[in-house]
Amino acid sequence: MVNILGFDLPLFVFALVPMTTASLLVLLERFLNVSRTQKNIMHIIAFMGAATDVILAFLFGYAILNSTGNEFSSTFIINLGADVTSLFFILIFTTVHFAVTVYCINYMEQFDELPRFYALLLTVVAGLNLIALSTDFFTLFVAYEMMNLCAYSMVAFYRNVESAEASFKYLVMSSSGALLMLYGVALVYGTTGSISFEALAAMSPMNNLVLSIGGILMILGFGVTAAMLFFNTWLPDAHPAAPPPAHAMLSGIITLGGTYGMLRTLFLIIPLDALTGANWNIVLIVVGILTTLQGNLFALIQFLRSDPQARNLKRIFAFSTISHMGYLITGLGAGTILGIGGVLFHALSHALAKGVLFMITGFLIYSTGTYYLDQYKGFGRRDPLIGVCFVIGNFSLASIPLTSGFWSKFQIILGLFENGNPIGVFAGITLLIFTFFAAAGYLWLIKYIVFDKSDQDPKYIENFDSVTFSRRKSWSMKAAIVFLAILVVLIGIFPGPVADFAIKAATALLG
Amino acid sequence: MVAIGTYGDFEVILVLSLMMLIIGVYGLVSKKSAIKVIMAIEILVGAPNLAFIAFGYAQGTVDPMTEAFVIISLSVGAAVIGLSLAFLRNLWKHFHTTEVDAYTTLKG
Amino acid sequence: MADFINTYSFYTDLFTLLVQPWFLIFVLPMIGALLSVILARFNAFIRNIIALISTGLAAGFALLLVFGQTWGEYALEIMPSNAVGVYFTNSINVDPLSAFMALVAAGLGFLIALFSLEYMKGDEAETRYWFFLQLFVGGMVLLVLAGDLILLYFGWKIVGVCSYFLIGHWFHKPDPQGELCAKSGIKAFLMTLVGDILLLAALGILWLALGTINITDIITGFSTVSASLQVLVALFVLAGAIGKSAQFPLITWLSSPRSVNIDAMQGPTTVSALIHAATMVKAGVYLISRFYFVFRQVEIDIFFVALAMVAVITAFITAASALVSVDIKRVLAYSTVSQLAYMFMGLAIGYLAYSTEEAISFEGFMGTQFHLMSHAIFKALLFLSAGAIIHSLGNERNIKKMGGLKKDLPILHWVTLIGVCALAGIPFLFNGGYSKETILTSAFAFAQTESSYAIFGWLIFGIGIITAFMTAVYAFRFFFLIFYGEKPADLKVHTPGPIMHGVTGLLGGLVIVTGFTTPLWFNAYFEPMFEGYNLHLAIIPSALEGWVTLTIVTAMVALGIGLSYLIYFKGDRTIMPTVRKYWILNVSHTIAKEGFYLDRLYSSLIDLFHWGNWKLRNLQTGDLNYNMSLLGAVALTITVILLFL
Repeated sequence: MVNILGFDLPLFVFALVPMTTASLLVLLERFLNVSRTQKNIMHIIAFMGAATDVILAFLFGYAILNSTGNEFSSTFIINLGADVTSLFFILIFTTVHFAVTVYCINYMEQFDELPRFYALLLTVVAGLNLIALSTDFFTLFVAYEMMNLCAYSMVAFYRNVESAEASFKYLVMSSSGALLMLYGVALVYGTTGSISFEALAAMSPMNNLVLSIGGILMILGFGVTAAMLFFNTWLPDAHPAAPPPAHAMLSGIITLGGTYGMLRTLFLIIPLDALTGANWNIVLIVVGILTTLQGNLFALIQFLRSDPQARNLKRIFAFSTISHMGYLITGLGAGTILGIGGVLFHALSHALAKGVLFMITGFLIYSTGTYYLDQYKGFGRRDPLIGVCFVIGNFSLASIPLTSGFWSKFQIILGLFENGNPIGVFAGITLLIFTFFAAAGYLWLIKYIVFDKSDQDPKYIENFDSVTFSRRKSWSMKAAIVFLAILVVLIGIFPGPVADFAIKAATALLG
Repeated sequence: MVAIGTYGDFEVILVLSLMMLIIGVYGLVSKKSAIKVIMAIEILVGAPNLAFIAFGYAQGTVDPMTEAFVIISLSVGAAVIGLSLAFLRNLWKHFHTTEVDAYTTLKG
Repeated sequence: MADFINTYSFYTDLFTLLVQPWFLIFVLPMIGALLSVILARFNAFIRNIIALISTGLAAGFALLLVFGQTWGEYALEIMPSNAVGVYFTNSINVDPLSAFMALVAAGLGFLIALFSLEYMKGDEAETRYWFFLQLFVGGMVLLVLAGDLILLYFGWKIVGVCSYFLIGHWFHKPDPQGELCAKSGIKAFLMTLVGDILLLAALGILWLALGTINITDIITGFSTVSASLQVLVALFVLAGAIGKSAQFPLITWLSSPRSVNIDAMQGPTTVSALIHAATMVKAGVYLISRFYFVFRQVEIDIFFVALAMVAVITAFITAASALVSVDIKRVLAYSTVSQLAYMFMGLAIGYLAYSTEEAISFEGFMGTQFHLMSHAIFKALLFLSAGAIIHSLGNERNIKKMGGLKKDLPILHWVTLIGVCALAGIPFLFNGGYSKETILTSAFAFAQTESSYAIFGWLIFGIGIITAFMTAVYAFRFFFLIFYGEKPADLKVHTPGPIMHGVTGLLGGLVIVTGFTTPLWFNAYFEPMFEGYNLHLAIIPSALEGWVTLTIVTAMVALGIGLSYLIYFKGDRTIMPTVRKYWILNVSHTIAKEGFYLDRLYSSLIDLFHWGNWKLRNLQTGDLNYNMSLLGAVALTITVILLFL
């Protein structure tokens, strides 16, 4: 139970609120025919759901930071528990979801399947919150699959060629990953006799091959969602196929579901495993670095392509997501307080920056109806608000000061140095060097969107102007973009509280 | 905690589950037909369930937790399969084939 | 641990902080940047006034720091506090070096803001210009005042970003200029990023080895770091400085050959004056000066030699390129790099001589600081005059198409003459002469000692002398080609306004005043940094080396000016006929003109990278079976590695 404003609420409320809202929306879709007013009702309901969730998360955060104990647990329907780490992730999930919901008010206006889309978003967040709150690996698996199923559906949302292909690939790869992970859980259960976090944390290490394989399968299984090296071949196909608001969720927070799972496995299973435990750090560091490299290089390849699908802005950002997931994995490998704190911080700053960028991408897609970079030339100039936010988002990803990305990436790199292992130092320097490739890509994007002249088909320019300069058509999209961009800059200037929070969580995890 | 090797009969089930895992992965890697890929996933769904059953039995008595796990995970698996069939239908609409080789419009 | 005068939390003591001059000096321009964006909506005039006030106040506070002389370090808590384990404490360090640099940055920032009032009038994106100009001043001051490496890096990147946007400032102009501007920004950012990355790596290594990133702590603790890490840190810091100061081999972002035409000179001339001549490119020199107190204690041969070699190579090749450039801004840009190389020479002497000849070492260091200041002033003057000339000629930048402007622009003619004399290093009257001489004297003095590095003393002295000669030639070539000779018929001139004349005149006055006054106060001012050591920097050379150097330099400068006079004033104003006659001259002329083919090298490297990258594309086939096999292969590899290795 957690005391929020004098009420004792079960932790399940974080899943209950979005799930109830989602059911309500689906029911309403059955009983109402879709018209403008009714769409507005849907918007309001979805907004209320998201807002309630984010407010609850912040109140809960306030409660947990001001309480003496570090952990909360409650049994309502299922066993749930929360510590500072869970809370940190819940705050990321709900904040991004809130921004996306606000964004959707304008963006999803064009679709009749609007309530279903909202329901998917809400269920994804419910699943993510359950992942963060689960106290045993089986609950984690169920929540993970709940989130995954909705994520597949979000990718398939448009039902065009792209999304059909991408969603199938995503489903096959991700669910086989989840099943591998479940197999790992079974092996862990078989060797330790328990899969609850509490019981596992209390056990002493053992030298058991089956447990080792279980741990490996779990981390690899989560790796599919966490976009590990070559476990991520679905990602650049699946993410761009989803509608842009869903893309923001997929890239910013759904991948974090996998990262969170890896984090838990790393702190609960790996310490038990005397056989492979010592090598995991190095393996994760190497895999993380290679992932980053892969993301950066493939993002640059997109600029060289000249086929019909060339220079799809969403695909470029999908590869950038891969590279940032690589940072998170490397940070997990560092295994130090700063490293893990950096992972949490970077998860936040990546989610915020990607939120900004995908929302802007969505804005451009919404207004022009095309996906390709060459048609977006100079739009950041036509509407400076979009241009400035685009620059802020890219700078945060390229880790340039005055944005949150600088501090978070920096913290991960210091964490790698703190590791003390020569491989850690080497990894830190390598990651820094990869920044160069990343920055090249981001700067080139800024050039396209902000610096170049609009020389594309005038009809695109007309469409863009008609959306961006009409307050009715663009207010909610711009509000969401500006909200996240301001968060990025604020955290960039005042990183203390967030970094403090992340480090508190890491300290609690490392004990 | 279990020392593997003491309970002869559960090991058979465990080995069976391992074989299912390997067959499932083999199917995913090699089968060109999307239907067969989905069947491979279905086999993969079975593997951890079987392992849970085996380990639940190995605890000495039958552990009710594992039964709950298996039932829930079966339903989750069913949801996954259902969704994958829906996606396959969607794919058929666009590609008119179930060969996964054809689904390569997105690459690079 | 460093002794802090006081500790301020960035969160709880924000209001107390806002009355501290050392805090205001970099925060005011940043606040001004935001304010001018907001106020630009209401009134353009208020926006400009805000910019002037914020930079002016920053300059005032910098003066306060310099004259107040209350040295000390203030802790500033920005990142996680002690409650969860202290990782690093940020601090602001006010010492003679940082206060002096802050004065240079803020003072020139203010003057150039004043100049921009007229120069940038009617620009399409004036608000953006003012925003980044003020942010730049704030970032630069933060860079120099930072007492720890993180704030230093913070400022380092902020100025980099401002430079990126200001170089690309005219991206909205019609192509090809707009396109070139955008690309130039990217090029500058990426090439300096190479250095930035390595600087950050050095920071990380220092933090790993010492558990602190406070510079004072690093100075006391550096000798305990293991030798291999010392070398790594020193080389990484040098790389950072090379990137920012555009030394060899990263010259081309600041100035590239005409055939490439993508460099920092695509920005407005005021920006070139402030960022790419007077302040930002000095950040590298500042960094090496800051680390002078760190690295001098340990003999890191590789670093010392690398510094000397980089400086020597850069000084020579950029002077050669400046000799054959025809773009008014690129001559100055190459010359900037060449003069920066002089500063690195001075620092190299400072490092090389420290273990054997402390006095010479300090002289090299002080000469560098002096030259830094005088170069900032005279190069700002030259760039601003060039800007005024470009402005009055309607964006003509080719000096071969100019001539005879003395009559139309008499005031600019005289101030440019002052700047050119200072650049050429004419002794006794101009600051550049004093400072260049100090550096060369220290090199000459060092060459005669019995140190094992003495050979580098000779090398630096020799190249320094040759470069001084070349400098005199190209400086006066620049001057004669613009102001003398026949005025081309199609050249329309409109006279610049009073602000431009006023600012350039003021800088011209400063060039002369700082020349002979600086040695009077410089020693006493910098003494706290040397713990009471009596420094030797005198108006009149005190020892034999001084007189010898003075004679040689004066002879070389006179020779250079004479040559320039003969060719570009008396002669037919071009050397091309002679060059074409001899193939050796022709080849070297082409090589110098092409910037020693560094740009060609980089573009082929990029092509190679793209080629390899394109091959990688085959890994992403999109085939499901293939994807699964790849997944399986990686999974199997990881499992095998974990279980059996």
